[in-house]
Amino acid sequence: MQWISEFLKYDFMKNALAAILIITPLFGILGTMIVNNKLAFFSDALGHSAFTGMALGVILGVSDTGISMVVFGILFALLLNYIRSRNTLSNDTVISVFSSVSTAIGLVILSRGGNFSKYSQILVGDILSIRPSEIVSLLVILIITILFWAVAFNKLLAMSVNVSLAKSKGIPVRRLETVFSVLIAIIVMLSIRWIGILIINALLILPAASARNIASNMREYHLFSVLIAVFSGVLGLVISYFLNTAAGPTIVILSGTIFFITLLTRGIVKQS
Amino acid sequence: MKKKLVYLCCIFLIVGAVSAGAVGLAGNGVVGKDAGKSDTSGDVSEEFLVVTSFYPVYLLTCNLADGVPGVTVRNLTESHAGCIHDYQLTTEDMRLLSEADLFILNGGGMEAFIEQAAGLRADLTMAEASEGISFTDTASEHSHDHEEHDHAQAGGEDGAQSGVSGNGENPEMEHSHSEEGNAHVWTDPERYLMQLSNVTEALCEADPANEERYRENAKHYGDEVWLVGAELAQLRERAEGVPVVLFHDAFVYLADTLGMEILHTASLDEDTTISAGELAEMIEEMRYHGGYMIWEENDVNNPAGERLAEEVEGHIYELNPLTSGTSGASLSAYIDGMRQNIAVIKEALTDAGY
Repeated sequence: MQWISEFLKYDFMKNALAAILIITPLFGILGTMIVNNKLAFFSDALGHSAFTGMALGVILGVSDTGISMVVFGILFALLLNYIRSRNTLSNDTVISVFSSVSTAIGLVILSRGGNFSKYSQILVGDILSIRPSEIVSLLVILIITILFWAVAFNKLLAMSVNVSLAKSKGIPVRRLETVFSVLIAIIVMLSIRWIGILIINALLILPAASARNIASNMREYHLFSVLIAVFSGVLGLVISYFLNTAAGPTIVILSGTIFFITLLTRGIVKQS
Repeated sequence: MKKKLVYLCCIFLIVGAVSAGAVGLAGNGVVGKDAGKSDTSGDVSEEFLVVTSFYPVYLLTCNLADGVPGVTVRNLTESHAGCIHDYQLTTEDMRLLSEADLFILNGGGMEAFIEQAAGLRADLTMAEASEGISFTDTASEHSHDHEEHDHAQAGGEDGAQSGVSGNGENPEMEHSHSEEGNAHVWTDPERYLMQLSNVTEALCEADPANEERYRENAKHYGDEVWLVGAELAQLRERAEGVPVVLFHDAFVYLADTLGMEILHTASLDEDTTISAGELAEMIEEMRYHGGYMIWEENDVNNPAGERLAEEVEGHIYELNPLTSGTSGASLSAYIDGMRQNIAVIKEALTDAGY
């Protein structure tokens, strides 16, 4: 167990481990409903809009661009939801338009004067630079998510089965969709600096998708998703330390490996 | 449910075992990069560990610590990494910085990760090689200057960049550095000598026991750099006022030392491509001033440079910006690189009829 003491000898590794232990269950829980409600593309678009959020922060001179990213993320989610609800175009088209335009606006603003390299860190993220105060904000959002789950889980589940049925049961579908989107926006924007735009969606989707391969009911689905997310997160961080690889992508590779194993063996598991 | 949990645990065990195997294969510990050492003997933790940010600073520090007992110099980035504007610290870098006795950076905003490094350890001693050195504008600001300048008056007097003494005399020391300036100062031997002096002072302060050795090395290396500066000063007579377009920020100081007229500087370090407007501007500048010379980094694919050369019937000359080197490069890599650059510039001046 000498490797554990070596691994935890440094404060930055302790901080990164604490952050992973908060982010991964959070993503594990959220991912289940994102996969159920077919919102994978939506969370991806939100991630891409982080560029514009950051760019607006830079233009407005906000000292902490994290604030402008969260505010923009919420507005982005609300607007996207509104346009989706008008049913003028198919969902994937609307989301794709929003994703591309917000990425382009962000890139144009951030690359003014050829300075984009200053901001390219956000593409892959850096969990190693997280500080205790930022870990606390992640912990707060984890608690909020769990509370939201306790209150709204059944309603969200009904919506994922059939929206018309949910409406007929008196569930405020629009309002709930909005709250859920805002929650995704806040979580994505708060964790994107540590995880990175390019891979944040993989971390949201892969554990839930793997769990769905083998789970037969909601309890299993949630439990497996959280277990897979935490396992991939912690092991990915340990491997990234010893192999000197980027932490985020290492975690995604592990989650991806687990996804393919569960995909290939799902028949055997479900039969048994 | 229990069966499935066991199944999931099996998957975890397999993935964990494969990962452990991969870590074991990689050498039972942290994978090393080509961190060079001035002294390879003994355990790093017991030595005076100097960590540098990237190649030019690493090369400079290695020359100063050459042969000094008990001192190890390690570079954060690989020698071939080049400029590190968007470099991100890896776990090994963080570990190295946690153990460092002195961290030497180039400064001037070159190392964007400095905040992260500072946040890592409050007691980490950091020294900036470019402290107190004046910078020219960045590439984008160069182009902006030229957009505004009046061609009717451009009789060769717009060559001098703001903040730089175009006559080869001492750059203004009282100018404190700007975070947005062009920090690739090492291609100007005079500024490089200032970096040498700054790093020597930092080493002497942090490791006073070896002060004499550092100062000896500084004098020896400084003499060699001075000779390169003298060669450039000699070449200045031929090169003064000759128009040139540059495709690397590091060439600005070299061209300026020679008193050349810099028509435009475009940096390929950045992640953005050169826009059509910028290329058109370069073509106009070259045509107006009768420019022929285009300097770009050696071994870099630069379609914009080729396009420009075709349009104005100019010629591309490949120079070494000295931002990167091969693993285990010799201590004289800077001197050799600068001499090669001088040879290429002489050839270019002959081709252009100067």
